[in-house]
Amino acid sequence: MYWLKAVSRPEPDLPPFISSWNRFYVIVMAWLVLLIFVFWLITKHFE
Amino acid sequence: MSLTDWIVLAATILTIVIYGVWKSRGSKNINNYLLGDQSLPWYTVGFSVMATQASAITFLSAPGQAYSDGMRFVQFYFGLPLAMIVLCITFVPIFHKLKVFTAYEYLEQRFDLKTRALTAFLFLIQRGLSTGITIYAPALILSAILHINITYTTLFIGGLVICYTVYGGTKAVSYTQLLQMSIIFAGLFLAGFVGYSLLPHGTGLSNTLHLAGKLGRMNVIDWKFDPNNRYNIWSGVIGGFFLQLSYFGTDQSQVGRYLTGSSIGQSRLGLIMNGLVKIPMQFLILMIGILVFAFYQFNQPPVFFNNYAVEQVKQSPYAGEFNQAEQEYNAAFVIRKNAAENMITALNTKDDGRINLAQMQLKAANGQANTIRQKAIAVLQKADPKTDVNDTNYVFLTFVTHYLPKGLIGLLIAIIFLASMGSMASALNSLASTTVVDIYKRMINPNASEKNYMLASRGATVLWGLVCIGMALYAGHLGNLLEAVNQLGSYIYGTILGVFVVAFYVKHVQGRAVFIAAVITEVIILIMGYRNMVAYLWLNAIGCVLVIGIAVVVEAIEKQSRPLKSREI
Repeated sequence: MYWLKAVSRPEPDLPPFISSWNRFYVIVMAWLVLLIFVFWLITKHFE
Repeated sequence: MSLTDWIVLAATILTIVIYGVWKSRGSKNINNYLLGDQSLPWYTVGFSVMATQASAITFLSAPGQAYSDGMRFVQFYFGLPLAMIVLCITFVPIFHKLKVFTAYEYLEQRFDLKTRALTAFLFLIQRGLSTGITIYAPALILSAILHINITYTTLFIGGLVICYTVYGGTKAVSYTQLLQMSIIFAGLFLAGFVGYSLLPHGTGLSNTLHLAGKLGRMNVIDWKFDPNNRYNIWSGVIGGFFLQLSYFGTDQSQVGRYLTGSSIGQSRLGLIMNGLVKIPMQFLILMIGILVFAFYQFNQPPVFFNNYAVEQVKQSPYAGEFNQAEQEYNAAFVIRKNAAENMITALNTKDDGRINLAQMQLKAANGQANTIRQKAIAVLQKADPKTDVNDTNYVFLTFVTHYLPKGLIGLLIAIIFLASMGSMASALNSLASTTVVDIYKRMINPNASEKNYMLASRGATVLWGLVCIGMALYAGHLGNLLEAVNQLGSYIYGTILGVFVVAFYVKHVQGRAVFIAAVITEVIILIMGYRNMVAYLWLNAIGCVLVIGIAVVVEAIEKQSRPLKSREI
């Protein structure tokens, strides 16, 4: 399961404000949830 | 188009091609030619991945789709960020560590040659056929808008792409795409800004969006589950996830893009950039369609946006009938315009009663105009039964060529050409990689020199380029098959994804079981697709699950029969 090890190992490629790839993936998921929420607000507001 | 527009168009395209050729000079081996020596930074990978997915139809069709159907198309991309995460965790590190040229190469290491050959063959069929269509569709629209024969627009797009892809390989593809996407973003931003400034004075963005919303165009999120509805949040998140995972994980045109990253981390960053930017980008493109929709509430739209079809009917015996419908539509527009102006006034008062009344009047006026439009479309069909009654793809370019200032028209036409060229370049590069690495090098000539493989790669690029151009020139005769070819990806991606998922996660399943599962699944999916049993987006998920399930069952049966056989011996 070497790819799982790759996820948790510190990475020089990561942006300085993100400590691990897992955290980066959580940010991507949070971004998706935020977008869906904003789109839902837009739908409700302009319908 | 004015001379200024032609100059802008030619200068934009030439600049990009020269830049790509210059940056990619000096390819001496296939590692450089097909993988770019795995030396590219994350932003080049990210832009290249985005440019590969965003074909010309993305920019032509999406604003038109928002115009006629609203914003709900954006939900199609909701599965994409999740797919990027799975790719970053599994596909990217495995492909990088094994130093593969193509995704299918890995399958031989995990299973056997026949599984690799089957998936490579399915990819070549699907990508070879669909790339022809990705040139044909914009070439058709551009030829109608620019009044140029479609053969010339097809040969121009195809010929230019073959030249720089053959010369520079994957690096030329990535560097041209980096610049292409930058120009595309800038051009679309300008188009949106100019489109907004053309709205009647004092309308405002909020009122514009309210106006579109009152006519059902701000339907960004639809929570209702319906397996036959392509665009709701469930089909977007679940069906879209499988589609995007299949596309980015198993289609060599995408795998070849992120394999050029200088490290696992750079490839991952490129994919994550795509996951973060793609949905907002698509939202903004659709928003341009909403602005065009609002614009045409106050300005006379043509009764049918495909001007070529209109010119044809006006030269037919049905011209009188069509002109009559056109005049009625123009009269209906005046009523609709008044209703739209009343709606803006009502919105400014913030009086719910007035707003509801104005909405009823506006809907009635729109309904009346649409009824007359359908009458005109019926006349078009009577004049020529082969006429495509869907003019969605013509809405945005009609607006661009009639209302945008000189120079910007040329830039936006260039964007359509560039988008078409970007996706075709990736496709040609991936078709050449698969042909040379998975077939020529593996099965026909395994011990040849680097020079021989370089020559074979260049030859395969030219050959596939000619096949795609031929396909594009012939596409006009395909009729209903055209849509089938467009959806071909969904018939094949799910099966290939299933094979990869088994390879990664179901360790006890061997090559024979997965091969049988892939063949059975492909037959089932083709039957389901042919009979229209579910919306095509779901075929990816079904195909993937079927391969996993059948492979596990076949492996279990094989395991039981193995000791029996050995006892017989």
